[in-house]
Amino acid sequence: MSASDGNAAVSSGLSREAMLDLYRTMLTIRLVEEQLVRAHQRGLVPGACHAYIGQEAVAAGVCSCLRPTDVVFSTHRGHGHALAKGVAPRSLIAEVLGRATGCSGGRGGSMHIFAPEVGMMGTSGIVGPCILQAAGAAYAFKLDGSDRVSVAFFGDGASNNGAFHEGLNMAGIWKLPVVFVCENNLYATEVPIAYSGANPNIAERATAYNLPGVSVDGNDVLAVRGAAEEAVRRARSGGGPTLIECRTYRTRPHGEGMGDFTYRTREEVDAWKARCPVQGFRRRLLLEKIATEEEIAVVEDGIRRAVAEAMVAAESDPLPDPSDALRHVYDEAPPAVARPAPPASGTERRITFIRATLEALSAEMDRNPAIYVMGEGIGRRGGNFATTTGLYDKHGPVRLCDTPIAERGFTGMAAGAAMAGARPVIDFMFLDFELDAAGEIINQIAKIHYMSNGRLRMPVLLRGCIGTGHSAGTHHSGNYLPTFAHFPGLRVVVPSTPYDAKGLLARALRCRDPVLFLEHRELLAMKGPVPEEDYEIEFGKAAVVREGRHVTVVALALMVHHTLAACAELAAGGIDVEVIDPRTISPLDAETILASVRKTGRLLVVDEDFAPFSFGSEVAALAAGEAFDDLDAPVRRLHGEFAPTPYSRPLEEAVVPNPARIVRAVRELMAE
Amino acid sequence: MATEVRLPKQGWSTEEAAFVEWLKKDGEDVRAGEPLFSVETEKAVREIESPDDGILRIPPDGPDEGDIIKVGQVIGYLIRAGETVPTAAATAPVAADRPAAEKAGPVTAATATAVPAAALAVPATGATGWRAVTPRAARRAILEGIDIRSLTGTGRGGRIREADVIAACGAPPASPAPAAAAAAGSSAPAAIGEAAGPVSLPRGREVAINGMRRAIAEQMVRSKTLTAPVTLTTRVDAGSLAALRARYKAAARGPDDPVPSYSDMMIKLVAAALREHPALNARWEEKRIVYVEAIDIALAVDTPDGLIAPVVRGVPGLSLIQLAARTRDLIRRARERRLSTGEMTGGTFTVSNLGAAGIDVFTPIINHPECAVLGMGRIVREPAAVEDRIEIRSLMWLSLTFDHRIVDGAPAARFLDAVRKLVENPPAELVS
Repeated sequence: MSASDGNAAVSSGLSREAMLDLYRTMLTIRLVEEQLVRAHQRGLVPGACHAYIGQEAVAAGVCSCLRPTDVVFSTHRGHGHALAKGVAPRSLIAEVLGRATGCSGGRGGSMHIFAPEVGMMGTSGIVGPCILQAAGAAYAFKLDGSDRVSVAFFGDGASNNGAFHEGLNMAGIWKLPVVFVCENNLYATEVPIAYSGANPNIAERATAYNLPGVSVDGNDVLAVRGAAEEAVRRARSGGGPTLIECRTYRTRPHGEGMGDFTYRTREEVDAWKARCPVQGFRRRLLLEKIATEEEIAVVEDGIRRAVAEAMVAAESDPLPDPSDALRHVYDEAPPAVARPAPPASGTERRITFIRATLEALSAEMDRNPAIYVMGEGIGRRGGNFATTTGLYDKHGPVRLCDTPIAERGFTGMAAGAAMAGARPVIDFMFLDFELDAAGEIINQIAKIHYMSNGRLRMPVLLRGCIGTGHSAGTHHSGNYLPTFAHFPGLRVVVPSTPYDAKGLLARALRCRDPVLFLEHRELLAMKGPVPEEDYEIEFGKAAVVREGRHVTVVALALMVHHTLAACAELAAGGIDVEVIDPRTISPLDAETILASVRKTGRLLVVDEDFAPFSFGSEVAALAAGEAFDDLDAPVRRLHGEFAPTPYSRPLEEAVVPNPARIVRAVRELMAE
Repeated sequence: MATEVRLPKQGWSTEEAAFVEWLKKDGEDVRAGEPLFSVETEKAVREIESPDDGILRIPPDGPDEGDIIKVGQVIGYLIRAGETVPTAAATAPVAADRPAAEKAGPVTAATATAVPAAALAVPATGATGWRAVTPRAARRAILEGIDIRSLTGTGRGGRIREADVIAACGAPPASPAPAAAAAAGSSAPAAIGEAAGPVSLPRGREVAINGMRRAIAEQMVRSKTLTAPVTLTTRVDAGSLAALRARYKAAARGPDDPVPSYSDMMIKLVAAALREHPALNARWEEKRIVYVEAIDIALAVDTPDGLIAPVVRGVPGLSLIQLAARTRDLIRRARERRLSTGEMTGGTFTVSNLGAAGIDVFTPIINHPECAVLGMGRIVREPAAVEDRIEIRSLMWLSLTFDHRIVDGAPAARFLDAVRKLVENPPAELVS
């Protein structure tokens, strides 16, 4: 009769099987990491490898409290979280080895481990966003009314990052079902928390956001589990978030192959190795007679064999097909346009640009309960620019959510919410404010569909005002178009008319890729014909706004109207201008632009934004490359001046193109 | 290497300036940044700084005070000691020294080889036969078989553009470029080979297309492409006209007395017919047809330089003698190229007489945007049936081409028949 007979409760209150499961999880993590360390030494890991060795109790303890439908967001040191949440060792190892069979298809490696089917929502190369994404996923659960729970794992380094403070604050405001698990392993890369935290007691920081904060021995799996169990119960029952600080230690260097004793001592490392969470728990299993040495040996043999087999299998798995590299940048099968745009000419009704977008948003919110809007003053107030007028009364504060002034925070949350099935609409008011969230957009929202090998969708609509006018000053006047159009994964929409604005916004709310919807400040009050029915305008379809024979002008937003104003004067002088409005710059309708240049032989790009590395540069390069033999003059660009936008009217007018400058530019081009 | 002294760009809109004076002498040492010469723009006299260190060399054909110089134009050089001045290559006289007639065939190629080798070392754009040409113009030139070296560019700095090629071949703008691009791109070597064909056609005397030839060409193409011409013919008995002309000839007191020509008589008769048939006294404008009150008739005149059609204004108000005096004056000045544009435009109808050239019938071309043109053939004495007898009559063909966009066939036919009746029985008040 062995010591482990029966399922009598032990000191932790856990069943024997649950205790053994904790051991199995920790040992699996340890053995997989040891395999990966060796693989790195053998040169099989083409990139970085951040081993979790020494911290196994945290992942095992926390994930043992979660359901398969709950989700976790992880760090650059995330192999343990993936394994504890249910990713198979072979799938993880294959990914780190860059194999086609890896859980991210070889797109991600160690720092982009995605397995949404088991609730593993990604490791990350950037410190901080996982906190916001976990809060965002929790927001999605609040929105859809499920009792799922979201967990953020992060290090002590992240607790000094803005994402931590913005994320905990918002999770606190809205009592989101999220657990923040800080793995305090004493070093942020190589910088000690004793140095980098003004208050190195991380758990205490929870009080600043009115949350419970607990600190536990992160090398004691039962202590971790105990704290996590309470936090998860609290989250699931609507009690809101908890911060758990798990004090632990990594006994490997920050990354494999990196030096380790410039910032810490061998003695310190050895001391923590002696506190090994796996061996410590094994001793406890024996001590509390939960299992015998032989029973543990059987468990260990099984795991050792399984991990070794996973390693062998992964090592012989195929490398990805290079022809596959461009898949999953965007949704491969975007939904067809369900409601084609009726002709604008057939409609009498004239409404403003912003009203047109509101019609599209309102109709989609009625149709799709996954849509929520976040921004400053978009709730009861209805938006600074009336972008959400009337929607709060209809849909309430969860779907029309006023935010603190924390652009990075609520944008990072949008990424997590989208991963968890919601369709966030982020209303930045002015796009200038979005720059505070640039990392969340460019590093996370734009990349996650690709990094997850096409499994996670990112249907996020990011909208805000662009453009100069109204003496708005330099923090309310930017365009920033090339910033976004430069990056794969984003769609960038720049409408010039109410008609286009309605159809393109409707499209954006059905598109499963992230969309930047940029609304020129000077067009918001502009009226134009807009059909009452719902309709969509396909992305990547330019409008030939005016046909002409002599010169092609490509322009966006307000510049379309300035160009049309210039056309009348130019026509009087015998110059017949063709005006192309691409409407979306990512994707850009190259064919329509090139067809026009092939006809006229001359191209002027009118772009309110700065010249260097711009929309103008892009279109000019397109024409020079693809219509070289059709050009009868050098390609010319008319841009805003290269200066921050000044306030005073004469100064402001001096830095942007206007009809007179367009007339002059066209005439100069005709004289080339 | 010599530095070219050019007129730099002056502000936003100035493209040229009046040269005032050199502020340094030829052969003087100049430092970069020192005032070198001055120019006057519409705003002010400005001193232009030297672009470089060097010895100033002012070419013999350098600008004099008051000469207009263009932005970018080379007006002198800065050289180092011992360096030669590239003036010979950079200025026109070298080419001019070699008479163009000395060698037949493409002149520019000969000019290029005639430049002294020493001068070729100097990269003087526009001086060694090099011209900027746009890709579109180059393609068009190949497709049209035009030698691009023969062209004069109208773009900035003399750049050759598609319009310059089109002007050289006298054709309207080509079919859409993409088709041409596709054709050229699908089999580039073959396309170039085919396109090169016309260049090797037998050559002969080459005459540049002058403004008048071009104007005629454009007017003809415009008529051919824009109107819907239909030609009606009829044969008239012109005996009365012949008798009239004989009578006026006999009455003339000297060579200065105008004797009305058959064309003059026809203009007078046509004016009377137009009064009765205002549908043909019309002009096409893009959004409307203008039925003109006045009756102003153009007369096609053959001149050494080509066809000119001066307009006789207010024909009904002129007696036949007055009209003859008027047409005599217009024809003389047309041949001297002294007509104003106003005297060559604004008619509604043209009379063209090829009778003196021995022509019977032709299809005259409408003088767009007029409504119609009447062609007169020669007057031939020949047997004709008069009631039941055969008589010798003076017969003439009339050919009326009208724009079917403006007027239909039946009214045009009735008009021509009215002209016939007037020719056969000219009312005394018209021809006396």
